[in-house]
Amino acid sequence: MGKYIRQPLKVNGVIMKYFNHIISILIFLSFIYSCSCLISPKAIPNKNCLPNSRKVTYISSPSSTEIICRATGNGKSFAQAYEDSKTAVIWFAINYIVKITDVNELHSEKFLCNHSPEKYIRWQSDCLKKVVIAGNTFVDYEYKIDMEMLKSEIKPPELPPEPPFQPSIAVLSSNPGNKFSPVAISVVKGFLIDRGYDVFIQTDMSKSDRISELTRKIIGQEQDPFYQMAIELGTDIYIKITQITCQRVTVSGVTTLQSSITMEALDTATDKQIGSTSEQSKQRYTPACESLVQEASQLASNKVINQISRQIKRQNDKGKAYKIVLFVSSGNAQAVNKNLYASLKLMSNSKVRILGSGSKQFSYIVCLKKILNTIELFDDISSHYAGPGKLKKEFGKGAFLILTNESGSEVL
Amino acid sequence: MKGNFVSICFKKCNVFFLCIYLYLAIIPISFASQEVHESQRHSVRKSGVHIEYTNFESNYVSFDVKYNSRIINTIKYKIYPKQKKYINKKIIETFLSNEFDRIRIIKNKLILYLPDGKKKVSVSYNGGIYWDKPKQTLEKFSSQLNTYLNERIQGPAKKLLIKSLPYRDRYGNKIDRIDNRGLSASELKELMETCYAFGIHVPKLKGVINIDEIKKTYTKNGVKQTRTYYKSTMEIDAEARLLIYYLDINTNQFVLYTTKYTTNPIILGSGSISESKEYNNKTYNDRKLFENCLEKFANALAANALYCSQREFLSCFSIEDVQGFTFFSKGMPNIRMDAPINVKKYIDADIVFSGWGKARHVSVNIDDETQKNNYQLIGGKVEEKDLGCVHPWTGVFSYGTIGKDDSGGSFSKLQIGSYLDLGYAANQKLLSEIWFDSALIYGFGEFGTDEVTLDLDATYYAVNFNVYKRLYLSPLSIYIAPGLGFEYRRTMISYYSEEYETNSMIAKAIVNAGYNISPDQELFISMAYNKLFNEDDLDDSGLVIQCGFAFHTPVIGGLWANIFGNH
Repeated sequence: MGKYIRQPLKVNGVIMKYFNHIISILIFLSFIYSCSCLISPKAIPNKNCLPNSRKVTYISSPSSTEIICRATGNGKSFAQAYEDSKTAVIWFAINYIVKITDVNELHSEKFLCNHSPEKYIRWQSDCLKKVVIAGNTFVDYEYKIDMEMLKSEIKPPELPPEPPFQPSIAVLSSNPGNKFSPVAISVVKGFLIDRGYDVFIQTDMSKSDRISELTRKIIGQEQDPFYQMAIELGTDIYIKITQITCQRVTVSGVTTLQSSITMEALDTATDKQIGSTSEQSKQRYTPACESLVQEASQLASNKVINQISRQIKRQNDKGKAYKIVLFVSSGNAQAVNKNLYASLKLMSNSKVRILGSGSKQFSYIVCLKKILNTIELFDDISSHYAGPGKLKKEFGKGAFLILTNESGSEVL
Repeated sequence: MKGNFVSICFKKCNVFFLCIYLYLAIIPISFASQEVHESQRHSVRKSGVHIEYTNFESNYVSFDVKYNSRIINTIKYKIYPKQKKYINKKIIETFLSNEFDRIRIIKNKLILYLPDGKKKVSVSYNGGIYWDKPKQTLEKFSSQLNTYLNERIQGPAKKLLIKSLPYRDRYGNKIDRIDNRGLSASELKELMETCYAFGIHVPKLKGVINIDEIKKTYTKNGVKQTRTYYKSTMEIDAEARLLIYYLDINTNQFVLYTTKYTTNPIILGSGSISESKEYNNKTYNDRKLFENCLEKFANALAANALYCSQREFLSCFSIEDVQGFTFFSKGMPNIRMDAPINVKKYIDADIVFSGWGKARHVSVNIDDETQKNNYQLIGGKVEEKDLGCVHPWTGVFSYGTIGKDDSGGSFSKLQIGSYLDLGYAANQKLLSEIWFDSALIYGFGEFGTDEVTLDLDATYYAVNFNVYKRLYLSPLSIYIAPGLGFEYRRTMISYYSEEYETNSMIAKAIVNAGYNISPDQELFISMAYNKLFNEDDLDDSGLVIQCGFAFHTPVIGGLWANIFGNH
């Protein structure tokens, strides 16, 4: 019995003997552990508000102020991956709005740190995919984002300053008699108005007025009727819907419908194409095609208007482009041309493009930053032009100005 | 005597169905649309053409009548059209769960019934219900049915499918759609390419009627008297085949539906159904007994059809939410109470089993989005948006145990039996996890009671019925099941060359504890306190401890067939 009593005492004695050493070792180990925790990545609170995943795909725009995207989220658990997908879609939407150019990662991060993604999500799908790869969970969701709200809450420098001018845009259809044209035009018009553009829609093209005749004579060739209409309406840009179709497709023995639409955007002054797309709706089992035309139009409108926005942004950097046509009938045409060119060079920081130069007709394209319309343009030209003779404004609308020289012009 | 006793016990329980196949099937049928990954696949609405005709190879069932193991006569019963119709309806309606829209051929119309049972869509049909030669062999019937479907049904069926598309889509367990511009091509494909037709073939049925003599002793005016009864037990070899045809919408042809597991028409059971009745004399010509037997035959085949339906048309869903050990899905009325649900994950491009649970609340209204199904996690793990798939199940397990019995002596015992989840079988929430157990027991050892310690060699045979309630310890796959039981025991005591018999009634208090290796296999230990009431007033009590292994039984026999309901 004594053996059993003495044994624990012996152990106690050993413990007491090395007590100080044990305590020292424990303190040392605690210190090491604390240090390891400090340098461990887990110990650093995650201040990075950017998403782990950047896999986001644009799906469609159900309205002019909303977009639907499919986002993949990535995380250690489903909950993390789900939250990541929301952050990823808002990150995408921010970049979508500002088109990356003026916003760098840091600014997106700042915005995402201070705003909950939930605030801008108007709808989300059921989970579309959930897979685990190498211990990480990946989930896919579709989200509808309120772009208007997001845009209004992105403060500079996330959003570039408002452009000095918003161009006017005409929406024209190649076949106004097509029963789907009004649907498509209405969709495009709605998108443009919501984005703050002045919109003009097509009137009867047969009512070509004097200006159309004038431009035809000046330019000396048959012009694209869309171009004439745009000049007539005086818009800076025109969108032409070149094709709308609604075709039947058989799926599983059932006839479904599918709509496709083609549209282009052109700069009226330069006649340069600044946007172009061809979009299709999904194949659907539906009795009427109107909803599918609407679906295709929404897709196309969103794409073309984004292309226009990028063009306007570039234009704002260089200045608004104007097309100036000069008609001189007298013998000093070359002198008038030379002096007008010199005046335009003085007015513009960038180079002046000469489109055509004949014995009597001259045309130029000039980019001017502070001039907002043809009235201001004519005043500015008049103040810079030193002669010979005086320049007279024959026609000015949108980005198109026709001048004649007072000394010897013909009434056209 | 011993053999006869066991035979009687078997007949009493109608446990004649044999387990002929055990399938664990995961069948990829056309689930997901193009946009939704397979990890989130949802079951789609299918349509089933109900062929309301069962091909009986013979309209008669012939029976050998046996008395003292000797054939004394043969007898034939006719199967009336009313009974044929009952068998057909019972099987098809069970097979076509709520995931199917049923298409019926009624006079000059082909009618599709939506799940609410009220809404229907119809197209005109003038093909008639025409059978060239009834009473065909399986091969001939299969060929004849295929021709009938292709020549007369496929055209109107396709028209009906197109006409009913907008209605059927509403009831689909679909991914939430943002727009309402009409069915997309992928959704359309799902609804159009999941049309099936079902036919039933019953081979020539044979049976036996056994007449047993039973002597019963009773006391009248203080005098012990013995009376002889005759018990007729009718047995039918139960077998039927279910033929499934799939409508290939591109070729406009019905083709025999095959999967990895179903390359031939499905066998709905194999074994026999029995029904018995006591008479004062040697009676065997009782049509009522035959009709009861036939009804049981239909019920057993229907219960097996339910299992086959789950196996062939696996029902899957995305797990919406997880709270503790409970997980939720959208309302799915086709899932039965206590149905096991396999939880799967997609890990590194493989489908991995991550856990399983059982249905605890089933929503009855598919349209009400606030009503959800909920499930208890039994084993493993579950996370939101994992895939849940209904495990093909009958709720019936067969088992064997070995153990020690200290009641009425000291015995080693062997027990075989089967148990059934009543909640699943009856599809009743009130009966959830209440199990009914029936077994045959053989014990051997020494006889003795508290009052009389004889230490004599003895053996016993017993039939045992227990009811218990299972409580699962989530997520350990472990359950504890307290319950009550009843046992009828006949003990044979050897005393030198003499053999004595004594009968006992035993009341039991039981606690079972088990571990589920999977939804289909379990190991368990059982403790029971037995209180014996012997016929010779020598009462006793004692403990029983046993351990056993149970496995899922995919074919349901006559014993359980009548309990299955609410298909």
